[in-house]
Amino acid sequence: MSMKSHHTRWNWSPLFFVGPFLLLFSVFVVWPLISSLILAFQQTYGPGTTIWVGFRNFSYLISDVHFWTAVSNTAIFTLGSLFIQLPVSLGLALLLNHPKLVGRSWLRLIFFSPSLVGLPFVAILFSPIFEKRIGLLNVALHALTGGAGGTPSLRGCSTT
Amino acid sequence: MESGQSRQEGADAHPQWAGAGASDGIGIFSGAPLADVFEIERGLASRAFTGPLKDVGFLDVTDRMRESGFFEQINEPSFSPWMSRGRIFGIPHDVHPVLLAYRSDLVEEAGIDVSQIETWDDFYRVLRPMQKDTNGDGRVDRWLLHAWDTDNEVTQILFYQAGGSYFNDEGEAQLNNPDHAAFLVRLVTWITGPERRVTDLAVNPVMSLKQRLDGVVVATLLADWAAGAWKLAMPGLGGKVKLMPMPAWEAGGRRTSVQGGTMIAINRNSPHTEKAWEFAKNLYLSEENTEAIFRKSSIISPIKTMWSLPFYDEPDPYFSGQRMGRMSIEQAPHVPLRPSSPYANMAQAFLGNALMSLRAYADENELFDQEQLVPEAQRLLDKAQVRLQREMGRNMFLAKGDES
Repeated sequence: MSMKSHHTRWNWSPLFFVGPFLLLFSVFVVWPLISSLILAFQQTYGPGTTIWVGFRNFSYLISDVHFWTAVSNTAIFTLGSLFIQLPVSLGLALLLNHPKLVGRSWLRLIFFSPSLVGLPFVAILFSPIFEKRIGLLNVALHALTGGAGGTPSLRGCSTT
Repeated sequence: MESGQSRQEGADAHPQWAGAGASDGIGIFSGAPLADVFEIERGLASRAFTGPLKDVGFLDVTDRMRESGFFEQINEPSFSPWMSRGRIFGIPHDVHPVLLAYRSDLVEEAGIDVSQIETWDDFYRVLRPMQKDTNGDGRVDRWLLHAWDTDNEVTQILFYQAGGSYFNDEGEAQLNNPDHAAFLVRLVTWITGPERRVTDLAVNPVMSLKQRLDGVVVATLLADWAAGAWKLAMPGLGGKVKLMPMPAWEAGGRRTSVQGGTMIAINRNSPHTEKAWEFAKNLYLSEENTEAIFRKSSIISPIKTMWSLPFYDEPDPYFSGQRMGRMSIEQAPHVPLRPSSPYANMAQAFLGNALMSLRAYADENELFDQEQLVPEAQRLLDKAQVRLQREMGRNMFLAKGDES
């Protein structure tokens, strides 16, 4: 009875195939993650000048009222998007797809038309409409009401 | 000299220069290759002063300025934005005194003599007849001054003129100085209530130009560089505007302020330091370029010995034949100091926020009496002071009193 000797041979070919991915993943994902973690405990003045500050950055963030306002706003926006915007837009999409809807093509055009105009152009177009006091909207309101006119402007919102 | 765009071709032989933008700001911190010389605005430059002195990306030119005699020759307030912890990090480009530009055609048509104006109270009293509804639609459409609670730049010009300062001599925040509260209260009464005298202009630049041409505001605070910008943007106002010193807050007080600022800095790591220094000096401090800068942009030189040059006395047709250069120079020694603190922009924003809040408080409570508004102004500034101190205290490099 002859015995065959089995030599375990390292197969490099899988590594050859996943190597480029691993390299890129390490350079562009793993290392930045580790760097971010390190940075969280440092204060820097460019990459060459750093000092360790322990948990100061975290305590600063947690004790900042504006941070919690931002967290709250983000949560409201996320919940609103998830539970209001998404179902409503899905419902409207289903409605627009309904064959018995009157004026379906026109409504589809209305819904889609904003996508045909770039946002910068929209901003430029709406700027003279919503301009304070002399904007077209304010002029129209003033003509209609005869009052002082003037819609509140976001520019006037206080952040203090 | 080569521009930053041709950096590669000339990298070994000649210094390169560039106007500093956000990417250069990153380069200053990161040690990435940069031009040898760059022109940099104060808002960006001050960010370089957040760290240890020895690591500031600009070459320390303090000794060079002293040895060359420029330290004595340059108008002292012009150094302040470029100094940190007693060291100078660039050659000042300007003084940027602010004058008051007014629609002389409208004022003279109304038969008003502005020579009797010395203070802001005089200004509003004398020009009061000009604030009116010009087209009979029931709304006032001509106001006396361009200023608003949302316009932080104008607020800061007035704040500096009034003697306001975000920081004390030790560099500590002092936003809640009681004088600052009094300043805010006075400004709010210009903006809202029965004594309102000012307005803002449209955000849309084309509409705001039209408003100026239409005479929606009688007067505007105008730095020398802004005068140059007006000539380019609003040639239609040529011959219809004149300049005068800013009205003072109190009789005998300062008649000017300051806005903006630029320096030329040398990259600390430049291999061409000497050439860069010579280039920078020629660009900013030579007589030839001083004249070119003034003729092109109306900006006066910070070098006091240049102030006697004849071109500053030439009548300026845009300003109805006035000697705009000479008028600016007369105010130059009196411009307030601009802080170099990296927290100055933040302080400016906090002051602006306090002003907006105070204006809203006045409107909501229909309180337009100055004395009644002072406690709220002080409360808002106390709050802003805490925030500013908190931000400044977070910087471990500066908190350690770095002198390195």
